[in-house]
Amino acid sequence: MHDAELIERCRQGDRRAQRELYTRTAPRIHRLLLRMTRNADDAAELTQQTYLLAFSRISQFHGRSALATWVYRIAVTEGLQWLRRNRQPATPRPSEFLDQSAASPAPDADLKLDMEDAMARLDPVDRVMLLLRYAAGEDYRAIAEIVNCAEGTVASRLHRARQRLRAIYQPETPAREETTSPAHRTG
Amino acid sequence: MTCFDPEILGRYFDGELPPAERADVERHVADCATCAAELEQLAALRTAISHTSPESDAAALEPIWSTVAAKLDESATPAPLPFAPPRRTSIRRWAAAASLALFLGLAGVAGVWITRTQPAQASVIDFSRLLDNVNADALAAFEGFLDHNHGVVIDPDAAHQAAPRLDFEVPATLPGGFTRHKVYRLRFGDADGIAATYESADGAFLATIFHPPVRKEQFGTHQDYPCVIGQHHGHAVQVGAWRMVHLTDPSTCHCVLARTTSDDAVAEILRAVAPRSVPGDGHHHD
Repeated sequence: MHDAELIERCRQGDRRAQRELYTRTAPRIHRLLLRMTRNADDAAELTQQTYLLAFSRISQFHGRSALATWVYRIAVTEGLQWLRRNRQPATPRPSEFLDQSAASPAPDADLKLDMEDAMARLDPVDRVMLLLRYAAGEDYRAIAEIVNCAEGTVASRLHRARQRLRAIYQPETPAREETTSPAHRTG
Repeated sequence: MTCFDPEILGRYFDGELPPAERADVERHVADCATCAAELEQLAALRTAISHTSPESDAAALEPIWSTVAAKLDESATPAPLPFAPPRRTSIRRWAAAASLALFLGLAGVAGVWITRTQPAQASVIDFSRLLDNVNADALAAFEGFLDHNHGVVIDPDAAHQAAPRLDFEVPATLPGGFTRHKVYRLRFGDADGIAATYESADGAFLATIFHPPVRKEQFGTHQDYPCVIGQHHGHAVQVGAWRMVHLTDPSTCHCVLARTTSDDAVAEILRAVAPRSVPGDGHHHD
């Protein structure tokens, strides 16, 4: 079934078409929501909510993006709201972590976190950007569509998210601070 | 040797550089241990991020679909009550939702009996807890307000039917790039209200609340001050970065809760949600 037919039949409330849309898109969406929530029950609930919203709003889908991307965007919005409600408290000394410059000493290793905790403490938008790129493997164009931003800003937003993550993440080997200095080429 | 900006290296690592620039980076990295190390760090970061959660289990998808299909079936069946499906959606909350629907149904019957000889009148509307908590977590604060005022999700198309005495709109989008998320029916005493939540692409939250003009609105310790919005006179409460603006006409008080934006932006939003409101002094609270 082509997208156009699928959309039209979903608009008419055709359950087989709705099931088809779910089958095509749910694995990717559930995987992302599982990564966002790290909890099977919450991921299941958000996945349900995503599809209930998608089917109730499908008359508002105008085809400016692929149908799957449109559903994915609803899931990301639901996931972001969940992250805001359930965000981990800030690290003990966030000001020491988040405003590092190349000239500053690296944060105390004892205060750094493993990746799970570091991701949980990131700003929800930063976390979603990193998950979309490095866990879901989306390219910049897809990320721009999903989070509804200009494609040209994806690189800078990812860069900023990586900086913030590195400031609180303790890798197995010491990381070089990812910052801009006068000695760097800017392209 | 001049190293590449880490953002450029990030684009290279992500496969997002044009071929010519990509070749420049490759030539440089071949002779630069610092940039090579940076790319190794990016690879390590990607690996660590990709391993932060369990993989999706295909077996988990079938029960999720069953629940979605059941709810779709339920929403396609005419409801005996003028309420939409409950806001919370997990399977384990169904029993509680059913109890609530039964309670609301009984309360509705009792309400009709009790108020048959009395005109509907809204009770005091208490915004104080919402305003107390909006800075810490606006979404949670708003959900608390919904819970306190018996909020249930409704179909946006059913909003006018749910509160026929109010004059308002819940457009799918609002000026400023906001997209409607959910619409709720509220109860203020024996009067109906409507609320809607919106979100922008960068995650900014905005809420609208519509209720009948009431004798008193409570703002707790927060100062409510008169203001001019476009051609209208209204009143507003500022709490940190958040502002709740009220525009009241004879039938409806239109409230917009948003992070501080320009007065022009607020005026545009109010025009969208209260398109028939006539400019005037607007105040009908005692």
